Amino acid sequence: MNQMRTLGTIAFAFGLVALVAGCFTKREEGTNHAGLKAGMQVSDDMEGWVAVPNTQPKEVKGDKFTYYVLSTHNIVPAKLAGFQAVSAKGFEKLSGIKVPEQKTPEGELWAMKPAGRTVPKDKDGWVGVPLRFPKVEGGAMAVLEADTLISKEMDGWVAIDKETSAKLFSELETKQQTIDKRASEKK
Amino acid sequence: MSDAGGSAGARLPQTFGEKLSFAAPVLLATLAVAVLISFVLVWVVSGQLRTELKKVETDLTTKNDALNKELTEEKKKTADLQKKADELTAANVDLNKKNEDLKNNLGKAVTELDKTSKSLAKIVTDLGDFTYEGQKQVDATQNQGLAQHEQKIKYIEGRLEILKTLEADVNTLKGDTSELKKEYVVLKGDLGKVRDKAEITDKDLSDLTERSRIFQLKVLSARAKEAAEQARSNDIKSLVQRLNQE
Repeated sequence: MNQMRTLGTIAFAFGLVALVAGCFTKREEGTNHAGLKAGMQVSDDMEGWVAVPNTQPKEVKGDKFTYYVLSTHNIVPAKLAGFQAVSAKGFEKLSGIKVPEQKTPEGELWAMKPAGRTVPKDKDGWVGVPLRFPKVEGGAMAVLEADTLISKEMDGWVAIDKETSAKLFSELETKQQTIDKRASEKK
Repeated sequence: MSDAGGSAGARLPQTFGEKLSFAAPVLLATLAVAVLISFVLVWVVSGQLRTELKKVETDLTTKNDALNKELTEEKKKTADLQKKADELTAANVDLNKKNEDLKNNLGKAVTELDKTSKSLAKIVTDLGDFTYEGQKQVDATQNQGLAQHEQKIKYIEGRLEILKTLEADVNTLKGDTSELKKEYVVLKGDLGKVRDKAEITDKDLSDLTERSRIFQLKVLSARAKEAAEQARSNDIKSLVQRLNQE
């Protein structure tokens, strides 16, 4: 009888530990973001982060290369780290491809504070990330980092990898110089 | 007692004669010294005067010599001029004579020329039309040549303008552009040389055009390469500048 009680106590303790451990938000391994579940509590190290719906840039496979269309509050996935984001206008100038205007409604950013705050049911499945945006240069370009948020300013921008960018910029330069050359020759 | 002692010493001269004979040696010595000093002074002054007189005499002699020399030369020149004047007078006489002869001959020649000029006037009128047409053709050919030359110069200047814009491109390139810069300088120099040539041949133009074209392509390629490098190295600032280029 005593043995049964002891075993019961141990099982309860394990259950309790497992329950408590499962209650706090946790980073996914090797990343800087955390998947949220309703009822979880914000851990100390994530205090001040923000949670957004789990959305990612839309992949578009073109004839010559693949590019990604960014929307407000997309989370930059690790595979797009180091990619260059170009404004839709700039991208059109570079590649001749016109990207439709996005007009993504500005969604809610759920502030993960204070520590211990419980994730509400409607935030179930959201992703928590530090509040960081890619640094925009000249209103036209930025370099993407993993687990950063796409700002409203970058809604509708396009991300391309460095090699594609190098190729497109090289072509653009040639194209512009050729136009200039012809113009000057006509004079 | 003292009076007795005084009368016992040397006796002083009492009379004028005694006094004179007593002072005579001193007076004579003084007089001799005075005479000597006067003589010396007179000697020195006369010496100086003699020197100056000699100097003045020498100057006068030199000037006199020079004047004599000039006078001789002038006399010689006068003689030469006189000789020339005689020759000219003789020549004048001859000329007068010849002039008279010419006058006589001229009268005859004028009469002959009058006849000739009348016949020449007719020939000139006939030639006039022919010359006008010929000149017109020559002018047209020359004008065409000039226009072509001008056109070629304008073409080269156009190339130089293009090169000028390329210079800015070469200078803005961040990589090693020393070779391009050297090539630019040489090409610009050659364009300038050809522009200043009196005869610009078609070969000159085609050679320069080809070289300019190749140079432009090199610059273009360098810029394209640089743009690609900037993209690869995430030089976003430079890329944005390129995007914003018109």
